[in-house]
Amino acid sequence: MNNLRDILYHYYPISDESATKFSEILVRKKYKNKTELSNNDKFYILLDGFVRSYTIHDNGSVRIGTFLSKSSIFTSIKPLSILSNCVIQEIKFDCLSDVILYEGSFSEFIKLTKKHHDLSLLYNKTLEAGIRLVIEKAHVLIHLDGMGRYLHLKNQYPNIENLIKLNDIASYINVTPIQLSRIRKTLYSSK
Amino acid sequence: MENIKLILNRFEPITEDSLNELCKILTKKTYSKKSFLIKYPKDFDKFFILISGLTRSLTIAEDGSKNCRSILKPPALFLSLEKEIRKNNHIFNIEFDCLTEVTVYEGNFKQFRKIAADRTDLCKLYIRGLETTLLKLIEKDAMKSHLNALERYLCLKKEIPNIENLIQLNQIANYLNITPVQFSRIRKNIK
Repeated sequence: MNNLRDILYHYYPISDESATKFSEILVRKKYKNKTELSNNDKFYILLDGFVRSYTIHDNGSVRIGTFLSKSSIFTSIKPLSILSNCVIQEIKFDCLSDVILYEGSFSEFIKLTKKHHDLSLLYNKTLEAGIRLVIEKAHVLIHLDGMGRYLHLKNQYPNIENLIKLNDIASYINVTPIQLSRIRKTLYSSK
Repeated sequence: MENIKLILNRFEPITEDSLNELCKILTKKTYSKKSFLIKYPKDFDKFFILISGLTRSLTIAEDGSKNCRSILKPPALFLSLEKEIRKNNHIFNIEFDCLTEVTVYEGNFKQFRKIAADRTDLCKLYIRGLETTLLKLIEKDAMKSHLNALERYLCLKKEIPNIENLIQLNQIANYLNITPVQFSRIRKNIK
């Protein structure tokens, strides 16, 4: 329980009462590597392990949205609204390693925010964190070259190679697998 | 004032009382084309409600290169979010400028935070604003990774059909993240 408080405090200091109410709607769960997380009216607080979000286009192409590591709070955007454009239908999550997380119902949470003002402020903070994540990704993709993007990713997740396939890394940083292999060669052979 | 109410109702209906409070901190302003709404390193406290015209947000890298992140059309709520999303290791700056002549309501975000602190409906409005932004960003991120330049252009055309008459072609190319030459070829092919 303390662990959960620490994570939430990282976002916003909520009152004891709200924390108790909040923890009542949460269930602690363990998932195995490669499990897909249900994205129907659920939100998650990640305690340990790695999760990725990905989108699937109508033509079948799969792209990684973002990586989530310890102490992230995330939800599928499905509970929020239906997207206006036809590009993607939904965002899916799956586990890249064995994970431990708290799981809760998103609509229950929204109900709670109506009574407890500090919980809606907490929700504010998590949204801001989400926006930051997406802006940063867009920025990195646009302004850095392939090498820069790879280094940035390595900086964030040093053991990324052990979690996902190199092909997926290449697709995430938007270079071809061949380019990635050259980048890695340049980096590691010079050492 | 009715004007503001109409726009805000699209996001989240707020009470008369809160609307009055909100109007007190808003001033209506008109900006000419190319002027900056938020210019690094000041103006971070401002927030805007867009009534007419088009604005865009730019990210600026350390080397000074600029890229258009999104094009905003009314009704839109926006602010720099600089304070909210800034972290120590952050590597980008955000600016907003006008693509056409725009009319906005401008306010101080700190004051907004103050009056929103104990008003649930304003807090919810802010949440809704953040959710909308997050969705748009995710959508754009997905669009970038799944679609090619032609499809991205068609998406933009769908959203703002007369975009060519409003802003310069090289600005559109920058938004689509392609060179002006590529862009002109794409347009030629469509015709």
